[in-house]
This record gives sequence, C-alpha cells and structure tokens, in this order.
Amino acid sequence: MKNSKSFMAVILCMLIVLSGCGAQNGTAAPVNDVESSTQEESAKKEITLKTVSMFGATDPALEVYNQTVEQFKKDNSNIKIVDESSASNEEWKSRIKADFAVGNEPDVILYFTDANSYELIEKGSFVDIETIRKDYPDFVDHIFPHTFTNAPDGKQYAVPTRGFYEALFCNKDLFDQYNLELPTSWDKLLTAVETFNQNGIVPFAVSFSDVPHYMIEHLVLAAGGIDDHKAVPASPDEIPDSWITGMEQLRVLNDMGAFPVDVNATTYPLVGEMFYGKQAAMTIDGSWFMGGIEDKENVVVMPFPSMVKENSEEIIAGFTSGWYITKKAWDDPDKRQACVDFVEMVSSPEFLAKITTVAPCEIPVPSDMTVLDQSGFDTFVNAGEKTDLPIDSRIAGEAWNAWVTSIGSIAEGEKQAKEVLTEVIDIFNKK
Amino acid sequence: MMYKKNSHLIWLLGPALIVMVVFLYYPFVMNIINSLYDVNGLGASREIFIGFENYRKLAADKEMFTSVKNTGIMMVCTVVFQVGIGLALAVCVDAVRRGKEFFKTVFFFPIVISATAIGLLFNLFYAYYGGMFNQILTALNKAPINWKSDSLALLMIILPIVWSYAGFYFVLIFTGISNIPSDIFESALLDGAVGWKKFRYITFPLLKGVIGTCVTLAVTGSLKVFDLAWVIAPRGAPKGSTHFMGTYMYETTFIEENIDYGASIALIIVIIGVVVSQIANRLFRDKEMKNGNSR
Amino acid sequence: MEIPGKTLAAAKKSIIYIILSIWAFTTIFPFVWLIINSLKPSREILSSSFTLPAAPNFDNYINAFNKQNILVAYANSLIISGVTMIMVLLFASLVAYGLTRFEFKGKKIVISLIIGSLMFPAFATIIPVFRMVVQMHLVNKHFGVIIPQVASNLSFAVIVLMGFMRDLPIEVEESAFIDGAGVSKIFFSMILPLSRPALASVAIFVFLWSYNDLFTQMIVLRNRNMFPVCALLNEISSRYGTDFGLMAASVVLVVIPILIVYIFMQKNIIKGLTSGAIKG
Repeated sequence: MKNSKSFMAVILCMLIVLSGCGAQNGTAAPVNDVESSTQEESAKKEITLKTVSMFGATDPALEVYNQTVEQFKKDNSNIKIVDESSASNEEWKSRIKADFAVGNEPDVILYFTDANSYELIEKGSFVDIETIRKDYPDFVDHIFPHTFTNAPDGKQYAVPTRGFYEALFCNKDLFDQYNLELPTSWDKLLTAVETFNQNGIVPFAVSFSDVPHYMIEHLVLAAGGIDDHKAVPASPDEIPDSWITGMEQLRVLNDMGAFPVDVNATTYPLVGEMFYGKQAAMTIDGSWFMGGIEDKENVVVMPFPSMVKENSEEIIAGFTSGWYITKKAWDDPDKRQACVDFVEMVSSPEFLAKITTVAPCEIPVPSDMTVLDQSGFDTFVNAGEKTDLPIDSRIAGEAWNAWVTSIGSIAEGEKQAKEVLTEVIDIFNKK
Repeated sequence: MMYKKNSHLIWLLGPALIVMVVFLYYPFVMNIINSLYDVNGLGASREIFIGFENYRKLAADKEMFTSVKNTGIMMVCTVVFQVGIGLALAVCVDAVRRGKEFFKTVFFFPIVISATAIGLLFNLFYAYYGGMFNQILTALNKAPINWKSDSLALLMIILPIVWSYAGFYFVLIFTGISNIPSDIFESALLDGAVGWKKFRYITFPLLKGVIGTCVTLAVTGSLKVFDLAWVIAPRGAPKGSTHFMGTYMYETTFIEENIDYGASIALIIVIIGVVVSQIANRLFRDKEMKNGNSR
Repeated sequence: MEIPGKTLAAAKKSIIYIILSIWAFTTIFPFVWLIINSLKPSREILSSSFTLPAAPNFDNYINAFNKQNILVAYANSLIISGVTMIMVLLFASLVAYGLTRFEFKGKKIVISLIIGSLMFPAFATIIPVFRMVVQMHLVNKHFGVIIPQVASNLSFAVIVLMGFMRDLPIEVEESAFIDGAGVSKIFFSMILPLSRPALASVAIFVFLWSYNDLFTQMIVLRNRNMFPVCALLNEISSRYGTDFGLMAASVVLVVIPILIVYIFMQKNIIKGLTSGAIKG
C-alpha cells in the first residue's frame, strides 16, 4: 500500500511535469468555489438541462454519476435535469446521430472524440474549449492539456474523463510453467509462441473477425514504434515501411501457430474465455479487460514488445470520449452557466477518482492494488507521453474496415500486406 | 357483382396506405435519394451528388457478389427447407390427437429467443476449443473439426437460421389447415381419402394460398437475414466469405458509416425481393390467380 | 385385414410422434439451456455451458430486477405492442379484404409496393421517420414508437391476411349480399370472424416483432420509465462486455410474457374455428 502511494506521487509529478500545466494552473480556485460564486449571479430562473452519458446500466460508474447528478440538482434548485444515459452500443449511437440530425440534441453530452464525432463537429454542433474559456477562464483547468483530443479542425471540444490503454495481457503462471520469460523483446515473444504451440497452449487469444483491432495496432506499433504509428499517410507512397513489416508478421505468427485454429471465425467473448481459462497464454486488449479477470495474482499487463528494441514502454492509450457542451445550449444564455457547472462537476477529480484509474487529471492513489492492477498501473504510467490513440481514431470507416477484414487473408498468404495497405490508404484519401 | 363499387376502396385501403406512405414509402424514397449522394453518417447531410456511382461500385464489388451468391443459396434453403419443414410439421401435428398444444407451443420457442442468445448457443456448439461438437468428437476418439472453416462455415450459419424460423412457417401453415372447413375433410373421409391421399388431393391444394404467402415471406425473409448470421459470423467470417446482403448492408451502414452505399444495397434488396417473389408466385399460384380473376 | 390395418396406422402414428418429438427436442433444448445458464455467473456459461450450474443462484434475476423497474417495463411493452398489434390488425384486414375482393387499375403495383416494403430496413428509413416523430412531439411517448411500428408491420400482415382471405368461400358473402348486407356489414360480421385464426397468427407475430424492435424503441424512447422490457434489458451490455449470465436471465424474462401471449392467441385460433363454423 505504501509502495503504491509513493509510486502514485512519482507518477503524479511526472504527469504534471509532462503536461506542463502545473505552475500555470497552480492558483486555480477549487471547482466548488467557482460554482457557488457564479450561482448567485445568475438569477434563479427555471432551467431544464438535457444531459446524456455513456454510462450503461451495469456500468459501476452509473451509480456514481446518478448520485452526482442528484447532488447537482440539490445544489441548484432552479435546474431540472433530464438525463438520458445509456450504454454506448449501436442503437445508442444511432439515437444520438438521429437527435442531432433533427435538432433534438441534448445540452451536455458524454460522447466519443474519435471519428464518430467528426460529422457533428463539422456541422458546428459543439462549442470548443477555447471559446468556453473566453468566458470562463478557469474552465476545467485541472485537466491535463495533453489529454484533450484535437478534432480535425485542430480545435478541442470535449473534456476528457475516463481514459483507457491497450496492452499485452499474459498468463504469467503459464510462462512460469514452461520456464519462459515474459515477452519484453520480440525474440522472447517468438520463443514463447513456439514453446506454447508445442505444448498445446494457444499462444494468442484473438479473433480476426470479431474485434481484431488490438492485434493490428500492436503489430504496427511493434514494427515502427509510436512515431510511425502516428502516421496518417496521404497517399500509398507515404505508408511507413513499418506498417507493412508489422502486417507481414501476421503471416509469420500464423505459420508458427500463434493463433487459434478457428481464428478467422471465432468470436471475441470465446477467445476472451480461452485466456481466462488458461487455454491461451496471451491476449491483447484494453484496460477494461481487467475487470473480467478473476486470477488477479497470476495475470500481468505489459507493453507489447517492440521488434526493434528491448523493454519498450510505448503503448496505445488515450481518452476517446469526453463531455461536450452543444452549441444550442451554449447559445442559450440561461443554460450556459448550468452547462459549464455540470461539466465541471462530472470532470472533477473527486468524481473521476470514483469511476476510473485512468484519469486525465490528478486523482487520489488507488490503494490495495493486486499484481494485475499494479502491472496495469505501471504500464500506463511508465508510458508517460509515449502513447498514441488507436489507428482507427484517425483512419476510420470504410478504409479501416477494408484493413480489418483483410487480416485473415494476410495471415494465410492470400493477400499481401502491401496490397492491402495500399487499398486502405487509397480508400482513406478518397473520402 | 357485389364487389364492383370501387369507392369502398377509400376506407378499405385509405388508413393503411396513409400510414405507410408517410412512415414507410416517403422515408424510403429519401433513402433512395441518399444513395445518389455522399452521406457519411446516419442523419448526416447529403454533401456531394455522385449520381449512380454507388451502383457502378456495387456491380464491381467482390463482397457484394459473395453476398448475392450466399443470399441466393439462403433463399433456396429458406423456401425449400424452412417452408418445407413448416409444412411437414403442420401436417404431422394436425394428424395427431394428443399433444397438439404442447408441440404448437414448443415449436415456437426458437422464434422468441433473441438472436444474441441463439447465436451464443451455436457458437458454443461450434467452438473449436471446448465446443460441444468437438467434445463429442473427442469422446468418440475423433479429431476435432474447425466447424467454421472456409468450407463449412456457410452451411453452419444457414443451419441455425433455417432451424430457428421453421416454426414461423409451421404456425402460418397450421393456421391454414385449421381454416379448412371440417366438412370438407369429412366428405373426403367418406370418399376414402386418408393419409397421403388426403394430403395430396385435399389438404395441399387447399393450402396453396397459404403456402404461396409463405414462399413470398421466405423469399423476402432470406434477403433480410441479418442478426443471427451476424452474431454467429461477424463481418461474414471467415474472411468475408459468409456475407449475406443483409449483413453486408449492415456492415457498410454501421461499421463503415457509408450510409449512401448501404442505401443503394437496400434498394437492390427490395428490387430483387419484389422480382423474385413475383416470379415465385407466378410459378406457384398460377391456378389460384385464375380463380382470383374469375371472381 | 382389420388388425394389420390397425397396426399399420399405429406404426404411422408412432413415426409421426417420433418426428415431432425430435423436432420438439431441438426447440426445447435452447430454452432449457437458457434457463439453466441463467442460474450461472457469466464466466461459467462460456467455460462449461452444457453442464448444470456448479452452484445455482438467482443473482442474475435479482440483478435484472434490482437495476430497474421491470414491472413498469412489462406494462410499457404491453401498451406499445398491444396497441401496435390492434392497429395493424384493423388496418391490414381492411386492406387485405379490399385487395382480394376488388379489381382496380394499379392493383398489381400496390401489391408489389407492399411486398417491397417488407424489405425496407429500419435503419434506412429511421431518420425521416424520427424527424416526423420529433415534429409531432412524440419523442419519449409510446405513440412515437407505435406509429412507425404500425407502418413497418402492415405489409407483413396484409400479405398473410390476403393469402387467407382469398381462400374464404365467397358464396357465403354472395348470399349475404343478396340478403341486403353492405360491404362494411359483410366485412365486420363475416370476414373478420371467419378470419380469426389468421388474425390470431398475424397478431402474435406483429406483437413479437414490435416487442423485440429494439432499434425504434431506443431511438424514440429516452426516459427509462418509458422503456419496454427489451430496451431496458438491453442495457445489460456495457463497456465491460456482455454479461452472459445476465443476458440469459433477461432473455428468459423477455421470453416468458411473449409465450403467454402466444398460448393465449393459440387458444383463440381454436375458438375462432368453432365460432366461424357456426356462422359459416
């Protein structure tokens, strides 16, 4: 416990330094003070605030969120809140898009910051942070600047809340059983794959048809590091060689027997179960995957090994959702203040600490961490700013789908990595 | 004679047509217009007019070709097996005295259970590692099989789809049998028509109308095949080889957010559906049509 | 001759029973599997799906009941799907009657249009539909779900009812006509009662599809108190992945009322038969 506390302190310092905002914002008034002072100014006009979050019914965060909303209502008796929170599935996304399409949008919304939001941003549906800060200079100044996501127009619109990272999950007990080192380098990874395969253990739990994204991203990352990973090729000539090398590893790994026999058609929950049940040694997944792991002492999280260097610390991580204030609400002078207050509240450190360990600001130290939690925490913290968002946060839709649907054919040698990537980038730049 | 005054059609057809025109046809016309523009998200505005570009693209799209081919196979299977099994079950249930209610109830089960649950069940049958089928094979000392390999997958997806909705046609056809006035059967019995004869000369001809309806529904239903197929084999797994038009339309609309392309697939589905069901009906109902016209 | 004939008939009967029992086994199996698995935690469903639960518990049901007010959701489902069903039956039987009894120009086109609309995917039409729902101030209201559902289920109902009504003996109608009955009288006092079995079959499917139509429900309804059962239980899948135990429990909870409706409707088919026979 003590250990983790001191650890946290180090990390926090690092994050503050990295974010470069420590001194600048050192004098920021506590959020609550801002609220109370501004509240008195605004007349007690009856306001109805329509809010939407992505906290679904079984998401532990929903309860925290609901309590917070209740508290907000108590503190602001003139504000009525109509909240329409729901798990962010396909129907929900359609609903949000339908709402914005017909002018039925909410005032404040927790929504994606990736390609899902571009259409809405382009239409001018949201107000950007800079504009908000013209009127409210202290607006969410406790959030680290590097955690905001830039929209295609270069502006920032959403206040990040709950983040994520992606990394390699290893059943450490299986590694120990076969006297294998954890794969901190590419060679160790290949040795592990070979050994596991010989002993009837599936090296990688992955499905190429259902959520294969992690595998693609991490092979690109392994081959070229974070800088190449960040590339956004404007033409097929600009595709980094490492992307091709990374994708070619699919075939190498497939030939070594690194994947399940039914990798092309099995499903995500089933391969997850193979990992949980120790039928598979490794899997690549997001931080949310930790929630389902029961054996928290023998499973560890680590950065996916690099092909070019040992002990890589680079990971895929970031904040792909955040709180937006809609233009419609911002332009309503009665609602503006209430929206700002609301977003301040649901992005406050107190709130975030209750719903995540991957927060965009300083949060209290998580205590009593298991081996698994600790390894995940270390992975995220050691990465610092050596992180990048997933590729599909930039290359989305048709282009990304062309990539995803081709990996089975690349692994089996029916298609060449270069051909596929050329096609992907062609589609991407046509749009 | 009695049905000559067509003014009655106003109150007969009016209410339904108003609802359908406003909430179905008008929106679908908008959908067709969308297919001529570039639309990059549900509810997004029509940006650039691209004319028939999407349709040209469809004609050259390999995945579309796979989808059409698989949907064709699916269509034959639904018409032959789904309707066939439905008919067989209905005739059998009609022939037994005890347990009618029981069979009628349990045959309905697969229809009401969600595609997510049925899909999960079949995925647990098919799983290579620890799936039920392979457990049985292992117990029999046989090597496990990759049930969703390139060669087997399509069959393994069609099977549960045919199975799960056979009960739908059972219900419709059984209703058709119940509709046959019992005096017809009684007089047939006096003429010595029992068993196969009764079916061939009495039941089947009287069911032609219902079976024709079932064929129309099976043709259109096979074009809509989507949810169960998607749960069992997302993205037309393996390697896009098991796409149906329904799943491909879903993928382009929701995964790729290529709304205009999805819209053009939707139109193709409707056109194929209308054409094929008209042909099927002409083959099936030629006799019946004549009866209808003589009315 | 008597005895072999009897044994032959008995053998045929048992073959029929064997066929029916085999099919019944395949249809009962998933339901039993669901019930058994609904008593397991999510992980156990994937790891040992076809065994009895190691320690059966009702946590999944308790969870489903605790997280939300499921009784209100049942009531919402009943209102939405019930009203949709009644409106579809009324409108569709009028259309089916009109199309099977009258000859007019463009009838074939109307029928083709109806068949075509069977294949309109909900997501292709949703945006204009939703725009109208908003303009009519029906967002978050049951009626906002009902109207689009009526529209999308009408074509199915018309197609099926046409098939049945075409086969109704027209002689009865003719004699009623000669006795001075008008078209509306014939429709309401003869066609509708005679079509009861078909109406019951159509009703159950319209009810079922309306009940399961998550897409329209999720887009029009926002307030959890207005949610029907499917929309409410759909919430079980969160960003932590689907909880299969909760899913199995909620499928059971979703399925049971619809089975009750089905059994009720089936009874009605038999009743329809007898009453129809008397009238006929």
